[in-house]
Amino acid sequence: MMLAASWHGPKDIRLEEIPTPHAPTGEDVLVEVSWCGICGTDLHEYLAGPIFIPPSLEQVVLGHEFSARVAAIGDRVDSAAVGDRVVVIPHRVCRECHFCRRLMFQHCRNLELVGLTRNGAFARFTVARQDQLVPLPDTIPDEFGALVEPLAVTFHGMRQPGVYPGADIAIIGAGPIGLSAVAVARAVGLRSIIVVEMLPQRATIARQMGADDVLDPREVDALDAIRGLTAGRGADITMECVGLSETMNLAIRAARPGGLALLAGITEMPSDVDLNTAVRDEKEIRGCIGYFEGEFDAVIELMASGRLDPSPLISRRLDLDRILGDGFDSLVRDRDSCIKVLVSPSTRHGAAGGRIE
Amino acid sequence: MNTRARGRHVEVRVDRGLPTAFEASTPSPGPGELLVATRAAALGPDDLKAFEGCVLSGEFAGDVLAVGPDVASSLVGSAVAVLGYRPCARCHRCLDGVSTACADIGLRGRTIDGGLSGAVLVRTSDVMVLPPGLSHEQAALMHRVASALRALHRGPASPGEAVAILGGTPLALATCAVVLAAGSGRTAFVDDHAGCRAVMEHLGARSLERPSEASGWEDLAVWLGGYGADVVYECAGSAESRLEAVELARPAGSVVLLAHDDTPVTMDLNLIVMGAKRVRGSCHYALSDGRVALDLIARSLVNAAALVGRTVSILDVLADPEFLDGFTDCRATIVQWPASAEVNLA
Repeated sequence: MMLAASWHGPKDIRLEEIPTPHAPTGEDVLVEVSWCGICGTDLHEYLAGPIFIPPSLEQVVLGHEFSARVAAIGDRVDSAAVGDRVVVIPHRVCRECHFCRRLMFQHCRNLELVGLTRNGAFARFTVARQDQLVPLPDTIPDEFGALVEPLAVTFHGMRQPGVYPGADIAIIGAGPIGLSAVAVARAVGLRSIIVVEMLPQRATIARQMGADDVLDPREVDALDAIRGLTAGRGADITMECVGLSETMNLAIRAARPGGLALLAGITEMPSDVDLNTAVRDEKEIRGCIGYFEGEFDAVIELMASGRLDPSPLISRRLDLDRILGDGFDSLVRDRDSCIKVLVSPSTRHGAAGGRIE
Repeated sequence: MNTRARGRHVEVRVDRGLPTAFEASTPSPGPGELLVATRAAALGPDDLKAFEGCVLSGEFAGDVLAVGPDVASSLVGSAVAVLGYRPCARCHRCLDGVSTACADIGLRGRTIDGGLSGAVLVRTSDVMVLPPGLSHEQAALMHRVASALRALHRGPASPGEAVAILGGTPLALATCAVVLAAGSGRTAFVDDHAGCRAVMEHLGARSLERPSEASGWEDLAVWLGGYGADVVYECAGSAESRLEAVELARPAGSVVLLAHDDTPVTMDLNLIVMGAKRVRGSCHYALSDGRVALDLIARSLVNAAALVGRTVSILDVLADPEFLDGFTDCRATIVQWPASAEVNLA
């Protein structure tokens, strides 16, 4: 048996003993989780789920942003060995459907998501298939490995057509995804990075991670201020990382004519959207979710080269048994200073550094 | 009077909602300008929504009558098509190369004078010389074909991809002709207007009434390949139609919005975010789109004949000011303006 943090319904995440997974077969790999981050998606599931979790599922172990070590391998595994340090791509895809055949894996018709549709990494062990593993170089610590997934989400955004070195970007919201976007935007050569954030500590971290200007929408009209910082035009790219009607519309309006508004925030209710500005000014609004194959490797490469330092994202490190009060509840209560909480279910980290910092 | 008498000409303005002929003095072209005698103009059901007092038609072609002092005189006598809008060429947007989003744009036949006139003053930067063999009547379709080409650039449907077009408008018809010419695969047109559906069927699209039940849209998505359209061109402009367009696009598919409507759309934005869908606006067209459109029409690569419902003379228009009433199947009415037409202004 092992301790796990399982979702049972909205506002109902339980720490409970569940059976340790069986020895892996076929292409499956048993991994021992090193660090796993609490994602905004986990928080959405906690507060208003099920969103990604299938309604038919009564219980699932959460956790999909994680680094791990290979503990055991199935009989047909040929690309991983026991002891390998890895990051796990949560997408488990069929590679056969309409979308997989076109390399659009995040739209796989038979997609399974570790930590959402099948048991995830808020437990000492979980199971992945060998094609979900990405090797983690010795130079990158396990903690950073757990940040590869959210960074890959924003890296995917920065690889969209319409994003180019030297462009201006306005990032709406400096939560974990917004701050990841700041770091990645800086790493991939965007010129001027404007952040809209009202919480002071988040604003400070945004500056620390490379934002040129941080606008507090309580003090200034964010739309006017973005235009003022971009010679009256609006930003070449905007990226919405909040998921509210107002911020979605701000992202669309603040993009320059011919510009791109990337929407990455998950909304919890329908919004009134101003689409006519997109018609009149020939803007593009693009949903940004998931990542393509190779984007985890690219993020790891950026970290290894020193161009991407994710350390300011980490707010707390916890043992798994503290995940409810000091993890989920803290993220709800203390949105300003609590950005990314990393949880270690492993005795390896738990013994050495698993206490709250 | 002769519609192009020396020093005077006839122009057709909207007067109390009807096209009415007026006599006006013919201007002389200034620096960078041309004087064009319209020979053919395209009109659609929306044209009488032009601002009261405007000269009708944003879609026209004609012959150069005279040129300004700094313009090559060799242009006199050339057949030209004219850009359907006039960017200011001074604002931030124009200077940034996004003149289609010009802050002070003039829309010919709507917010500024159009081309149903014996003599129209235009800037040299707003005209395209017609390729050999192209008639003025065909060239008058440039505006709608170029707008459709622009939409195709904004949301490219690769050959073989499944396309849906929503809304029975002249631009929807041109878009259908252009995407079929570009080799689209399954192409569906959705609108309640039976006349528009018949025209689209003739072009080669599958046409159907707007489904009233979700199951109807699901059936359409299945027909389009199982997961919806690769690209949806939304030409109606209503909030309802825009929402339907986003829903009908497959995951990672594109929606191109071609029509204006200020009404906000109430929608679950997760449709766009989780579906990784792309929603792009398409507005007007660039001069380069216009040139390509003329070339496509000249080489019969776009079925331009299918875009035309009827051809009438300017004299017929003036004899029956209500000539557009009841002609609403989204095809163009081409108005011919003979070089020596005589109009009784009494």
